[in-house]
Amino acid sequence: MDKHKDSPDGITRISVKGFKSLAREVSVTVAPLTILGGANSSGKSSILQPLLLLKQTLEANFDPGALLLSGPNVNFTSISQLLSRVGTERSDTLEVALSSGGNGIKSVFRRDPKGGLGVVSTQYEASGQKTVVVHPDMAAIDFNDLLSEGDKAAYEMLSGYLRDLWPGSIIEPVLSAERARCFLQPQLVLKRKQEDGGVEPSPAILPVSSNILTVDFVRLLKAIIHLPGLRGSPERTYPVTGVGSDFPGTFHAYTASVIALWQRTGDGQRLESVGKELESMGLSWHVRAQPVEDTQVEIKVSRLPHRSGSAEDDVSIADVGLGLSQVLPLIVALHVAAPGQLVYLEQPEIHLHPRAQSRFGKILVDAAKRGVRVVLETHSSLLLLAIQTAVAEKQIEPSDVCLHWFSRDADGITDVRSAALDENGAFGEWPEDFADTNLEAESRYLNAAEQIKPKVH
Amino acid sequence: MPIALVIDASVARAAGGEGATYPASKHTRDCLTEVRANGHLLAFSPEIRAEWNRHQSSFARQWRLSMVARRRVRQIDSPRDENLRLRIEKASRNTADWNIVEKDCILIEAAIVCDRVILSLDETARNLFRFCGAKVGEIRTVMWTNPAITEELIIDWIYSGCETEGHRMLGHNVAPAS
Repeated sequence: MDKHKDSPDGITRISVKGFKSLAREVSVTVAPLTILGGANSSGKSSILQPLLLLKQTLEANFDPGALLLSGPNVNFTSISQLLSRVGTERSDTLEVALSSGGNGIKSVFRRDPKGGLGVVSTQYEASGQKTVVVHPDMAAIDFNDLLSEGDKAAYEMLSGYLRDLWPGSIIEPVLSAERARCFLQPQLVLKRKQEDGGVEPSPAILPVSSNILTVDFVRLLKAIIHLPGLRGSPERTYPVTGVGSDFPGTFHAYTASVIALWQRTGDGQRLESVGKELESMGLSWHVRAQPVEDTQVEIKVSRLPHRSGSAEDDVSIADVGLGLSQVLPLIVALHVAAPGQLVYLEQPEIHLHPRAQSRFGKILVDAAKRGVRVVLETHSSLLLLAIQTAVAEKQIEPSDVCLHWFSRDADGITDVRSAALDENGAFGEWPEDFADTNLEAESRYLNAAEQIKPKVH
Repeated sequence: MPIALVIDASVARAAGGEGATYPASKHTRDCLTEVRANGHLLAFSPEIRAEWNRHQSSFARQWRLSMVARRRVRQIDSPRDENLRLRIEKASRNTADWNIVEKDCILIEAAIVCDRVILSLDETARNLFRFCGAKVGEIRTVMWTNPAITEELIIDWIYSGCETEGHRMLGHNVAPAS
């Protein structure tokens, strides 16, 4: 197995509490290939939506407050829509926690009775260090708990320098919590206490290690590539976009420009891989981008699903079946993503023929082996079976696949059962699986059909 | 308590598709569904697996797939027992009978190393094994039931855990030969 052994961790765990049907804390592992299953409205999307809220908040070109509720990835018009409700009781708190390897961050948001949603605390957990909770009442915290050994050394050095600068002055550290969009960051300001008792802020603000952790998680959140279930109708041309390592908003708008970039930079390997994968699904063997003046790009795909004739025998993506235009952004996203980058696919099977759904499983497995963290929400038993088969065929390690099954209890609260695959690709007992429905439907049909006596002509 | 059942390919074939006849097909489907719903296991030797691969209906394939995914298939090594086969052959009335039961020895051998339960639609084989049971002690306590025969109340029996019931055994009402 040519697994990408040196992949960075990326996001490895997500925990949410107080969001829609996730009234109780739900915590899921994010494996290289993570599958979210369950009935409609069971809470599958709700485990990822808080991350998308953080992403769109961090990507906003203005400060939208602690959370941007209405954005390109998720759209709420009121705080009540996102906070959990059990019976008539509504939660006023939302907790979102992320882990990456040994590091973790957790922000708690609370509805302000006067209006709005504020971040009331952020917890930092750095590998091998004491967990620190940053909240507005920071003065009560012993700053020794907050600072790493490196921070303390920097503090000693800086305060010594200030004492030399202002002989006779007392240099006093003051902790405060500064909001940086969705997180509260600790800030250590060194203040100068004068002989007359007055305190004067010095320009010395000491960076605290926890802030560096915030930077890491901000990077991971902004790097999330999101492909929602509704990916829009195919267009004749797409606006030119910038292409970097991050893709603000949803991904499909970048597809044409990514392909155009690969062509410009001679990245034929990825382009060829996309073509091969589309061909394996019986959709198209060749894809290219055609600039239309300086502002638009057209996507052209081979007219035939398999290679026969020249690459010039192609047509606009708007002129072929919907399945191709729906799956192309997914495949391009899986190839443009860097190792450790999380790609979230909602219902990738939409508009795909069963054969194409089944083949798509291998494409997901290959992306996970390249180090991409693939999270998919699906109702496709064929897709799941293809992944199980890949495990049984030893194309991917069982430990690299994780299944989370979402269901709701009588109060409407989401429960999650997680299963790891064994070496046979088996997942053991789930509360319900797709086979229940298939067997029930098949049995019912056969019971009815077998009772009908054939007509004699 | 889940048990490992030996299920003949005749059941897999009858559970739908071409050649399936109502209501036997319905009874076999209900039976497989009950096995799955009650957490029992499917016992599979290489020989039985090969028979399933040859005969299974689409419904049985789906059912089997689901059993594998739920870790409910007990894979067993080939339990072929030449000594047992020799005694069954000797206990058979004639070569014709032996030729009929020989292919079904794979069910008896698997049942003996698992929980001694066989589901099969093959009444001829059951009757011939019953006859042999008079002389071959090991097979007398094997419970052989036919899902297509409603009087055998197999659904209730599976639901209650396939408990030992004398009337299902191949040695039932068979006097051991001296």
